[in-house]
Amino acid sequence: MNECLLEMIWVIVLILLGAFIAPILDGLRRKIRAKIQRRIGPPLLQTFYDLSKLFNLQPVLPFKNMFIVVSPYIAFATLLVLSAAVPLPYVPGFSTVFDAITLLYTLLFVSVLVVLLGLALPNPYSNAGSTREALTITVFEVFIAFTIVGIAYSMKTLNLYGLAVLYGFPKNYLRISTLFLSASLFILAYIESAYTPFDMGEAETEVLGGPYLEFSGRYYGLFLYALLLKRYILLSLPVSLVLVSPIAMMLRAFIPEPLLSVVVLGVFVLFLFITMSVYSVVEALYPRYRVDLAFKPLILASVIPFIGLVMGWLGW
Amino acid sequence: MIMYLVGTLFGAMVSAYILAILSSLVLRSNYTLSIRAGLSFVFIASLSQLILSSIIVVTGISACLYGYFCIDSFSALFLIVIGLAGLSISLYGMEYMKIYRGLGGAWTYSLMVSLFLFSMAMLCISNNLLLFVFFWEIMTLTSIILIGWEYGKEYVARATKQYLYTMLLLNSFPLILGVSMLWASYGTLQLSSLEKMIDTHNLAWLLSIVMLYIAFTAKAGLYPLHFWLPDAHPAAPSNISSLLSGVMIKMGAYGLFGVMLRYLHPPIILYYLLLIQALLSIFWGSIKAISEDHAKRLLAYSSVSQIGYIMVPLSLSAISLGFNKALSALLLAAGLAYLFAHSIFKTLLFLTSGCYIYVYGSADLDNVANIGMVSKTAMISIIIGSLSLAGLPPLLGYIAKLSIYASILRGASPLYSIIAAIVIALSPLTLLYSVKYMAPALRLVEKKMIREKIGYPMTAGMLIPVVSLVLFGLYSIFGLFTDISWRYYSPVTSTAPIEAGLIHVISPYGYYLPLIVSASIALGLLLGYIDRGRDVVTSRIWTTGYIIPPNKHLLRPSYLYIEFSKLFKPAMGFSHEVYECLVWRIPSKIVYSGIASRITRFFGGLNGWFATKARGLAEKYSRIKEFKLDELAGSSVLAAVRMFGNMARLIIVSPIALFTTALLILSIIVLIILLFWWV
Repeated sequence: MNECLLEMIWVIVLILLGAFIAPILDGLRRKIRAKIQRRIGPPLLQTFYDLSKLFNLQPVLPFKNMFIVVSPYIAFATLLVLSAAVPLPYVPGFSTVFDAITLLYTLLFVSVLVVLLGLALPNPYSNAGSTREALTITVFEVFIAFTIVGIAYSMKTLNLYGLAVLYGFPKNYLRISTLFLSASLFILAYIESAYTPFDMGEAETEVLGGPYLEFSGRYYGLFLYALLLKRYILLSLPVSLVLVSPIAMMLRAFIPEPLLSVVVLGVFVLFLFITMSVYSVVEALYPRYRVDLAFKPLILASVIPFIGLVMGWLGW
Repeated sequence: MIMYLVGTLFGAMVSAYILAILSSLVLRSNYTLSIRAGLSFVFIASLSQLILSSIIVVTGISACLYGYFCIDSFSALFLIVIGLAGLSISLYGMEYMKIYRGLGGAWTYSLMVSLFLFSMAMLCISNNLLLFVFFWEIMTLTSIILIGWEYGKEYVARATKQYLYTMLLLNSFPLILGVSMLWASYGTLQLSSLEKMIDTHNLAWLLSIVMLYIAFTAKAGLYPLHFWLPDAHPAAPSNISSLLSGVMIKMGAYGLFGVMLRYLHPPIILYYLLLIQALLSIFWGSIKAISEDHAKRLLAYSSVSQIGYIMVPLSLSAISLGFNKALSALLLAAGLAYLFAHSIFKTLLFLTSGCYIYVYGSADLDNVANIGMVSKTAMISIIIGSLSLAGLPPLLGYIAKLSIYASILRGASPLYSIIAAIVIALSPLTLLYSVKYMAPALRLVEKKMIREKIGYPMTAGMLIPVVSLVLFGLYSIFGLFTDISWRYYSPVTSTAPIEAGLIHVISPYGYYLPLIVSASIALGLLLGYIDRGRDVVTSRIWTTGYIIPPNKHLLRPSYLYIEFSKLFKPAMGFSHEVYECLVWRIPSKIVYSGIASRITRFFGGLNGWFATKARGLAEKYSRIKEFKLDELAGSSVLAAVRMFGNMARLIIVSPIALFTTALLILSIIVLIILLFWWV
């Protein structure tokens, strides 16, 4: 079969997977949180129902402005396409083209779009939320920088497909530096997704959802969907590199190539659910940081990837 | 065939610059016409310069004129930078200079702009250090006059004096001293002969290298010699600020790499120093830009930080030259790519800050709101320029930034990885100030006070960089820069081997990367356009039920990130005090009110005498008109005499022009004395 055609089919499969699984992961998160708080909680597909309701509502906006109307679509379309770039070993998608820096910076682009909207609207709460979001991005970048550089130093590549394959090789995987880098990947996905202790930007009870406050109807629905996709893409980074990659490495010996991709995808989805459950438990246990107190842990956390980087230098 | 084309284009470029000067002189009585004629010829000159340099870069040939002017890919890249900036600022200036009408002096403006661009173009292709210094000094001189355009305003006067003093002491003086020492030691200033003659055990060589290093880093605005930049760049009219920040500071990079590293075999330790200076520049420029409330000052500080981003890969390239040539070429290509990208988006951003002044009468960020109401192009330019500055995909700024990260990460050693980590970790500071620059313009607040509406020339001037940012972002131009850098290090091969290619560092098919991101953004735009908000109901903003008057309790742009600025306030205050004392208070006592005023008085007297004599002569000749000698010859002499008289009078009227002339003469005298002393 034509290789290019195969790749295109995989891209479509990955986009559909992302679009389908992102709301379900959110449903799982809500369900587990409810269980911990001794509630029955919403059904697993509740986020889908929410989204469909939002898409059918008539939108109410403060201004009828092209910038406000177009931005949710850009955010959604970009992240939908980006969900084909999740790094999966032996599954060719956009990950053969994308590198880790571009992936993170494209996610950043969407965040900046939201920040800009929040600052453009004449609402004090949106403005406050946007400023918090921008400062959080800045402070957390130290962590991201050390993680990226550490991975680039240890794995000698930043291409997502290459990383997904190489990460699981025993000579890469069974190292002390990889342990620290894997831990930092999990922390990175958690903090960048803005789960509870770190959701200063939205912070419903303080700034009423921050930048999203003035949006309603399908525009809010698109932003919500985009946020879920962003969380899915971020979650896929540690899941795929740390958990799926070594298993795919082992499975490669037993399963032939075309079937291997499907099996890897199944393993990936399984681990997504498991990791999401762990994240949800952590999220349910912690209250949100006050905005001025949050920066210290964000900075201090960068010690972990830094240790990983130093270990990489030493060759451990 | 190509050589003929190159020659013709070069001739066209030079003659268009000369025509720009002449036409502005001829039409000097009409303000608008003089500026339009001058800038039109500047446009033509820039266009031919652009075509010429593009041919050189693409074909990889090099051409020489009498051995004094040589153009190859490396200098052609700088010509492209100058040409692109020249195109947009000349179109923009035709309309923008309307707001300076009260000051008059249109022909001086056109003359200075064309001389400024011409001197920069010529210094990039000079193969002789004396010519280089000559054009460098013309560049400095014209930039001083252009910065001091609104000399009547106090902050402009201060900025101009400070720039003048700094350039004299830290730029012209070391440059001339260094070059004269080279002449004294080697007896030639031809760069290609100097390259072969340099011996690294010569004290004069070492001293001259240090002198040149100071001169070039001061011009580039690298920390700690950056103090003049945030005052000087915003003081000029906005399209000139574009040239200063977009192009002129890159001449420092040209000096360091096109002259020093290439021909003079500098010790590598200097490039470690450059690396440290560059990293400090990135940090200091960024945090100062974040706490700045004036749009143009913000951009000027951002230039300090961005020149750091340019210099980091360039200095690493010089450092790694000894052990890994492919890596060295890669780093140089990344640096050049960022230099190219920065020149385009910084030109654009200064032009948009000019829009703030043009529309609202002030570039204070608190005064700016909803520029989309006035001009959609201005809004799009601000968004695209700022996103490029922040380095977000898929624009050219991102590709250049990615190439920096990727090339530094390729050098797999602790030094390189820690520098990559620092550079990546500091990059969101850029994001913070570019959001600060962009957000006020997008605020959906009614703004009643609109001074002028933006017309077609300004729109066209801004569209050129916007289109180039988008197109160069889509069409990956990595290959071009690796070719240039490869030709720079080994002139024999004209195209880079595959392992030096930038794209292979990250992914084998990286060419599609910007295409995919842009396609997804385009998809979003299309969907948004189809939607168009057809069934949207508008309602007042939601303020939790409290009745807040509209536009009250909003975050003012100057209060954005105030927590962050507070963090660095002590350090900023201390450095401000130090610089204020070193750069302003002490020198203003000694130089401005002591030496300079005396020189000014002396030359003022001289000029006054000359002007009176010239005017007297002119009147005498006009009285004996009925003498009926050869009338044609007589009238031309008369015109020439009148012109000299007028020029002399103008020099008296503008003290800064006078002061500059005085200092230029002084530096030439110093040069001559030194040369005689050394020989």
